[in-house]
Amino acid sequence: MALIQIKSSVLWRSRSIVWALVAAAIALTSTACGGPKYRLDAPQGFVRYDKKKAPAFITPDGVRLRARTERNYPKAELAFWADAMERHLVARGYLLHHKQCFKTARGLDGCTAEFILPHAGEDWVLAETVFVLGDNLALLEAAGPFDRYKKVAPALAKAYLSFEPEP
Amino acid sequence: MTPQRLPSSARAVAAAALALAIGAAAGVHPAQAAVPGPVQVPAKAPAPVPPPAAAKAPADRPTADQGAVDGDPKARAEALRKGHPHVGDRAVQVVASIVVKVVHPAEVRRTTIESLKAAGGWPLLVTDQELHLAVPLPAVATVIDQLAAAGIVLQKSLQRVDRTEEIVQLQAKLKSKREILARLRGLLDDADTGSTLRVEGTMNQLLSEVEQLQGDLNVAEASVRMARVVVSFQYHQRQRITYVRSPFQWLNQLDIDRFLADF
Repeated sequence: MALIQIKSSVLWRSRSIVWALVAAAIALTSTACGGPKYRLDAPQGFVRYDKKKAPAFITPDGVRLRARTERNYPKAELAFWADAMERHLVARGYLLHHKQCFKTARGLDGCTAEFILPHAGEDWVLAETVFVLGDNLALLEAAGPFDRYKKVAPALAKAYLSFEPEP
Repeated sequence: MTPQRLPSSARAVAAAALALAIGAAAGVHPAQAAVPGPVQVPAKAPAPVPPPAAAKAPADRPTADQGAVDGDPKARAEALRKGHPHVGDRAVQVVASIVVKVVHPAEVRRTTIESLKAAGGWPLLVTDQELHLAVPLPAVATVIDQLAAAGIVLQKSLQRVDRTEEIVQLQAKLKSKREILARLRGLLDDADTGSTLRVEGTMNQLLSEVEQLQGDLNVAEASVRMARVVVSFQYHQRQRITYVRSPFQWLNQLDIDRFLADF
C-alpha cells in the first residue's frame, strides 16, 4: 500500500512538471510570436507596414502609429494607468494637450492622452492610447510634428475605435 | 547796497560746494563729485523730493494674475482695468505672454498684425516663431482672444508691474539736477577763467546725467502707456524635458526618441 502511494506521488509530481513545461512552452511560443495580436483599421492617409507583426502605420509626411503590448503589472484598471501615464510624462516636462477616454466599436474602454514636447527643433505630439486587456496593456502610440499630426488627428481617433484584440 | 564781486577763491569754493551738492543728489560719493580745487567744504544737498503717498508700493512688483488669463473673462477684464495707468494714479506696466500652436503661423501672424494696427498698436519684433506686440491697453484682451481662437493655447500669463515709484524717483532726480544746472549757469556770469572751466566740466557731467535720466523716464513712461504682448508659436522649452524614473517599468519606456528608434 505504501509503495502504491509513493508511486502515485511520483506520478503526480511528474505530471506537474510536464504541465509546467507545457505552460512554459506556450509562453515562449507566445513571446516568439510577438504576444497578443490586434486588429486596427488603417487611419485615413496612413499606410501599413505589412512585415511588422504588430500594427504599424505611417503617413507620407512621417506621422507614425504603432501598437505594442506591455504587462499589466501590478494589475490595475484603465483609470489607474491613464493617470500614472499622465503624471509621469508631465513630470518629465511633456505638456498634456488633450486627454479623452472612449469606447471602441466592440465596447473596449480606452484612454488617449496627447502630449506636446520639443523634438529636433520642432514641437511634436506624442499620443498614447491605453487599453487594459487582462494581464496585458495594449498601447497605441502615435507621434509626429505638431502641424502634421493635427491634420491626421481626427483620422487617428476614428481608427482607435476599430481597435480590438484578435482571438 | 551794491553787491560786491566775490574773490576767485570764494567762487571756487562755491563751485566746489555746488559740485558736492550735485554728487549728493546723484548718489555719488563726495570724493568723486567734488571739483578739484584748493578747498573743499561740505555742502548741504538739496532735500530729495519725497515720493507721494501713492508711491509707497514696491517697484517692480510682479502681480501675475493667472486666473485673469485662464478663461475667466471677468477676471481678465478686471486685471486689465487694474493695469490701466490712469486708474488710481498708478503707473502699471502690463506684460502678457501666450504660447499658441497654430497650423499656419504665417497667416495668424499677418491677421494679428493687421488687427493690431487697426487698434492703434504696432509690432516690436516679428520672427517665424515669435511676435512681440505693443498693444493699447484696452485692446489687450481682444488681441489675446483673437490669438487663442486661432489655435491651441499652451500657456498664458499676464503680469502687471507697478512702476509708479520708479517714475516718481526719476522725475524727482531730474528736477533736482535741472535746478542745480540752473544755479551753475548763474555762477558762470561772475567766474574767472579757472572757475569757469571747472564749472563747465561739472555742467557737462550734469547734462549727461540729465539726458540719461530723461531717457530712462521716457522709457518708463512709454512702458506703461502700451501693454507688451509676447506671442510664441513654438513650445520650445527643451530644458524642461528631464528623466524621471517611474516605479512602473513600462512608463519608463515612454519616450519620443525610443518610439522613433523602435518604430
